[in-house]
Amino acid sequence: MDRRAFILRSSGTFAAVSVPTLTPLSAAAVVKSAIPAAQTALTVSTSPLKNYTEADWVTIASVQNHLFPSESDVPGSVEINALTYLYDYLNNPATDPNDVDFILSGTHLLQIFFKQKDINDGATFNDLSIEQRELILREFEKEPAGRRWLVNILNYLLEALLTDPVYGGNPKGIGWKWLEHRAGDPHPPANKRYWLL
Amino acid sequence: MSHDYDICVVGSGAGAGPIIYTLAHAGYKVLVLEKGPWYTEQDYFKDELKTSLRGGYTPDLRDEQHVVEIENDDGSWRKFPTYQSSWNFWNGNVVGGSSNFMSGFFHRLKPNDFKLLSTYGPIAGTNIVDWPISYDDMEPYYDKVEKVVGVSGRVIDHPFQEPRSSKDFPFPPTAEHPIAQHIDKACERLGFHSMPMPRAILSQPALNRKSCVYSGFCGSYGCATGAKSSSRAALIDSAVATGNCDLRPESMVTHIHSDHTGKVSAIEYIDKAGKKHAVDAEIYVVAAQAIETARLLLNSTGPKHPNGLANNSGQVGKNLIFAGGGAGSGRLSYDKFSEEQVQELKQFGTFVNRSIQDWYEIKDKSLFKTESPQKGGTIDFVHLHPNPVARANRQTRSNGSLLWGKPLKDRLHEHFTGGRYIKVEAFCDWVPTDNSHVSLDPEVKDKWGLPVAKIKVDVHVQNLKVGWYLANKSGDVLREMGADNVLSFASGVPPTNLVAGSCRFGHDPKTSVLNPDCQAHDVENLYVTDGSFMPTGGSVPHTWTIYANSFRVADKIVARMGGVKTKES
Repeated sequence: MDRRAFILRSSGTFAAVSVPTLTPLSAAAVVKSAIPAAQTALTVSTSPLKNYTEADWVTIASVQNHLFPSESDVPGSVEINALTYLYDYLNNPATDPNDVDFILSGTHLLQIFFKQKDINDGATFNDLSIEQRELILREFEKEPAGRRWLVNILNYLLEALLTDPVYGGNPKGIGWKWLEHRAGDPHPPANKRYWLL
Repeated sequence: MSHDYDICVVGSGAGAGPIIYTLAHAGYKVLVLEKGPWYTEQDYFKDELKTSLRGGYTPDLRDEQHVVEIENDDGSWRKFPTYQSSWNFWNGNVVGGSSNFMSGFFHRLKPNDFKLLSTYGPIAGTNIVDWPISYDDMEPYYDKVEKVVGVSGRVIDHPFQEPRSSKDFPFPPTAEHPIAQHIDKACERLGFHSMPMPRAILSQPALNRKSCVYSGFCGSYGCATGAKSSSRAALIDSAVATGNCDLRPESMVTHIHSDHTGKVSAIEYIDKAGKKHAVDAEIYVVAAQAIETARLLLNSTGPKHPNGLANNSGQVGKNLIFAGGGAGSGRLSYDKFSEEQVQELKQFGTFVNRSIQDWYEIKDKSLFKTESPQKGGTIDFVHLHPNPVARANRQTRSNGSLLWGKPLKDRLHEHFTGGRYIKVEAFCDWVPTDNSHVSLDPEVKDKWGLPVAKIKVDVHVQNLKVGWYLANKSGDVLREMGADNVLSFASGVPPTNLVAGSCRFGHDPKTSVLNPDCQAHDVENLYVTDGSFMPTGGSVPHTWTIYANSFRVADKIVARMGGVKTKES
């Protein structure tokens, strides 16, 4: 299984388990069971995402779900395929490598920032309660680099919510339906996505 | 002497299309060198990512950027490359140029716009001049644009209506959103004169093009039906069909060569594969938009043009102007209206199409400290742009903090479902100054190794005064309509999609680049026909005037070359 398949599968798994309102996303266990590192090392060696680890994706997925939580009747990060969407964007050769580095360095910054807070020895961001996540991210927001990273993560969440489903987010127009947004015609077909035209 | 072509045109937007169309139909061999790809209706989709978020129709700023220089609060200046900023001065590098992506809010200039200096007098710190031609010279070509390019509208009895040779528009107005009636009633109560806004969009099938289908996504988006009157859909397709027009997309012009007499001798360009070519023609026309035209001329030094082509008086790049000045918005909250009205307000796809020009000339001593009338401007009412990601992103800030979680989701839902937003765009007559100009940056180069354009942007207080005046008036209308969350403000930020000046035309070679026919004073076989020629911009978007002027110059070139060679089919 390559990383892309992992992301797709992870998102699907998350969707199946994430029903309760404001329940923190438990991503780490899913990630570890879904992606043996040995199997993926070869396939990702030339990918723009070769420096991203499972732990990084878990951190990103956890933050995404905190910023845009799943609710019983309103789509959240899982339902809009936010992780898949971000993965596909960063893995696209058309994407500016600076963007790929920026998301990763911000992720690492958050991980270091979190460790310095010395909350629950050995815990990861994904292990925190909703309240603890909020506390950490609000403090992270006060750091200029942290705020820039959060702005970007939010932006890609909203792209996953509201761009055309052909790009991997907003499945079946779930975000458009929620916000009663009328998308225009014609929609972009897969062979004319922005980097192909 | 034989040439590869009769005429070679650099660019294919609104300033180039009429030249290409007219010369090709007159039987002359036309070569068009366009930097961008050749998209057709089949390539345009309602795709916010491509259109607005990923710069799908503009160059990658890593390869090609600009340098912007702006003033600090303390009066000093700072400059920065656009790749390291949120600025982007590119506007559609495709066949047809940025006319593919315009909203098509079309206004003519008025007679006084051609004689701004002599009508309103000088303003300290500005380079306002009269045009070397009059409204009467341009009127036949405004009329031609209506009929050939395609403008839909309705002439009403109106105190600010400019003179017209045709009684009404050739095409009826595009379908109007019910919100237009709210504007009309509010204006009537306030004693203002709302007027239908002409649109460069076909309201019915005509000119071998389809009608608008009211997709709801027009400005910033390429048209999938051909109804929008882009240079490509309206003019270039027709020119190519004559067999006289050779269009070469993805051809980057790098240098215009000139000989020992000062005339242009050849144009050098690089194709998509990176191969260098040179072609020659009897006449050359540059229409690459104000900034890139100036840059190309400045980069094209020659034996008689050591400071750049047509720049022996140092005027190339000077007096850059924009169209803008103020903005506003308000929301008609659904809970204030009946269910029937709400359903009307929720209608999607049709246009607002309303303007006010009651303050195209302003008499207000308290603001301007003079009894004399001052040049004012235009207020256009439009829908809030429907791009959903852009709208959603604006909801992520709250009192200086980022908004996320359920509070963000609640705000998003309220924003998208709680009311109908209306937006105002106000246009002053953006005054030219010594500090708004294009030059070559001494450090930053593009992927071809050419110096990029440095754009110095000045904002004169006159723009802000008029911008505030118009914005406040628009706010009055919005509140009278029953809108809440009303915001209106002047803006000194230059709209990067509405740029003109940089090669102004005039009688005096010392103070202008082009003569009244838009022929370079010091290059006999060179014309410039994009918005560069405009010494002042009028208080409206420039596009209709750019189209009209290009048709005017096309007639001059045809006459110079001996008239029409073949009958048009």
